[in-house]
Amino acid sequence: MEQQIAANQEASNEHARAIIRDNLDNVIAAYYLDGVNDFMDYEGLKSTIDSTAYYYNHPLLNTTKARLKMLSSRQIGNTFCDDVILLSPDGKKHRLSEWCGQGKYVLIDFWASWCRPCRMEMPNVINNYERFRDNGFEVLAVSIDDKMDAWKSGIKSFGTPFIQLSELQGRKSRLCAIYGISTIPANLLIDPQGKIIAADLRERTLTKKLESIFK
Amino acid sequence: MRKLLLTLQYYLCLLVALLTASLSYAQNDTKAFKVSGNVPDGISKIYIYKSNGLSAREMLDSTAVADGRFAISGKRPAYDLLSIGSGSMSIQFFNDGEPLTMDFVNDSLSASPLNEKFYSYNKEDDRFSDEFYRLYIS
Repeated sequence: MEQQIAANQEASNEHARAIIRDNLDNVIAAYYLDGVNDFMDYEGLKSTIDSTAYYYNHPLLNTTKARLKMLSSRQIGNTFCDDVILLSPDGKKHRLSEWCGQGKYVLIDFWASWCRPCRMEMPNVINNYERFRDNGFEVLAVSIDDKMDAWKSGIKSFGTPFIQLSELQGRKSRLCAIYGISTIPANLLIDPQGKIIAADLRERTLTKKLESIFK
Repeated sequence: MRKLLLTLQYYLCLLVALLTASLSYAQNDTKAFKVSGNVPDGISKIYIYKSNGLSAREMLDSTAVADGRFAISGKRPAYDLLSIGSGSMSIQFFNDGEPLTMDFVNDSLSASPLNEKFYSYNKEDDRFSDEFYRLYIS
């Protein structure tokens, strides 16, 4: 049944995207963008929002514009954001700059103990970590849990061997807001100089990217 | 000659500014809405709401139904998303200043091309909502 629900959701989203494409010259596009922007990527949104359209300042576009702004911060070429203080499971405070921009490729991997798709993807992240760690690959697992106990038991149950960080702010996590993370799993790949070089690499695409880097 | 050029430049700038203003959406612009229609037996009141897309809606006004017919009018910001109806029987429309007539008995709308198109899209959306409902209760 989950597959049928997902298929209906995708059909509904595609229907909305087609309406948006056909109505870029009128306010109907703003209405449908309000409903579907969560399911659109940066390029899709950027090509859809026309700042010269008469409805550009319509309140219906507010959430879409906010999402576009967030997504723009995780675009390839941007430097990672070092404004946020993160905790390790022992309660110590950290910043991403302890690892990012320090000469290694770093995968910032967003997950949560309650996230079923994260559980499905995590073995792939672990395999890649174990395969490429000696080549200069690091993984920062950033949890968006909001309770220390749940986070710690998630680490144990997922069996993740890499660096663990969290703001323990759940969906109010600043890092999620900065990088426009609305669904997980999500990730950012940072190059040794601290620039974002890829986002949301999953399954085989993560391995292929790392193979191309460490060939 | 220079003065004439400056004057021409001034009027050109003014014209561009006016054209830009008329083409852009401004929340302070208002338009009158005029909505009428008919409803099935048993509906005694029709409400008009400011609709906030997928989230909450806010009631603006209401009107009594007489002999199965209703009419309501007012002023709202241009292109405000409004909805009209009673209970689960409702439609959404943009306040584009054009009169709108909704036949809730036969489920048909007569309005501006913008709102007729919007109505037909909303009807198409129903098939996805119906499917979600079917999947969740099965």
